Amino acid sequence: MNNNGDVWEGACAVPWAYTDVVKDHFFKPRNVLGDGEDFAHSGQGVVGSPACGDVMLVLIKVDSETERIVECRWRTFGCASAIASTSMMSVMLTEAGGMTLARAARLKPEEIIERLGGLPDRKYHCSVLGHHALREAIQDYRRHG
Amino acid sequence: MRCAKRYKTTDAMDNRYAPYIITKRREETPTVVELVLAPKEGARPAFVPGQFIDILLPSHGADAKSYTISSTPHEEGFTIAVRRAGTFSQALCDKKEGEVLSVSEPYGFFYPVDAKTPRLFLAGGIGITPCISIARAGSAAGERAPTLVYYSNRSYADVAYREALDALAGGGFIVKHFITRERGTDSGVVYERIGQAHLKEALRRSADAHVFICGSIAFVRDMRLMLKSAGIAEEQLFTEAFF
Repeated sequence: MNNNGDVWEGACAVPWAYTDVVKDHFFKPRNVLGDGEDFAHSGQGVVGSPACGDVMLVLIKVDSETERIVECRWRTFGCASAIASTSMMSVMLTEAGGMTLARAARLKPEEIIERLGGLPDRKYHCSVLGHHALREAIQDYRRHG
Repeated sequence: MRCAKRYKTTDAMDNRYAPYIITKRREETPTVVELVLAPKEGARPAFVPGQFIDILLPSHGADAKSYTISSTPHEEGFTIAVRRAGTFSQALCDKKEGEVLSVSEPYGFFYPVDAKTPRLFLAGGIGITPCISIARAGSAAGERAPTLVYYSNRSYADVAYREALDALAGGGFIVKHFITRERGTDSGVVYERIGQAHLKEALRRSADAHVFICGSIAFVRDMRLMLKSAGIAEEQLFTEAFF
């Protein structure tokens, strides 16, 4: 990777460029759960497996009256695309007063990738990890919230 | 509200695979192999039609691949349909009856949220598998939400689950085949890609349908973009990209 965050791959050195939005969310991810942060949450979702390499934790705080997601925190063992995707997802969930749970349950990886300005197809799966963790967090809220 | 300072992975996450025996192997098309898997011990877990299982192969280390379950919950085991594509799927297609695979619990969120809302399935290639499980399970349960299936393949030989789709036809279940790299004269087949005009026609039939898009990343992306251009709400769309 060069200093611009572009990936140079293989003998042909063809650059595989992330969009500026992806780079922004990778170098300055939003809503990351801090070390030791005590985040009061309404729902929690954990997906992935350390054995496989990717693990994603998503925490949501829900306003029980409006059923909107008002805050989100996340943390991951994952690549730049996973970090950028989940950072963008956390912004989409909490902007404009917060997404309703009903709408959040229909949030798709394609929407996250669209907001990022695109991801290479080989990194599509990175947007799925956060999406699944979100669905788990919503289910957790429904069971316990 | 809950607080937690430490978030641990659970044993379940690291030990989520169980051994399954291939009890049946069948060539569904020249490029698709159907495998029926039964747990070596204990009962098969419950699942929702539309969900998938992850499979590990020793030859491919810790990289698991996901395969949608094409059988229904009232059938034995898990049935998956594997298209020969990359090295993983080639290796899986070459497995024989009696061999053992490491299989995860079912997972996923690609399924209808109710039994009544009309459905439009847009399936590319082996992306037909969730539709097969969902439609056959619904039929067995006596549910018949009006369903229109647009099924796209490169050639007619690539059409998977042709008999299952024919058996489902009627009573509000309509299948339209799109063949993109062959020409023919079958009046029931459209010899071109699914395009904007086709999608608009489908939405004219049922503007409030839930649309289930399943296939390659590019197929799912293109279908979604055309549907959004046609004015469909994001909440009506469900996507499952195979990668």
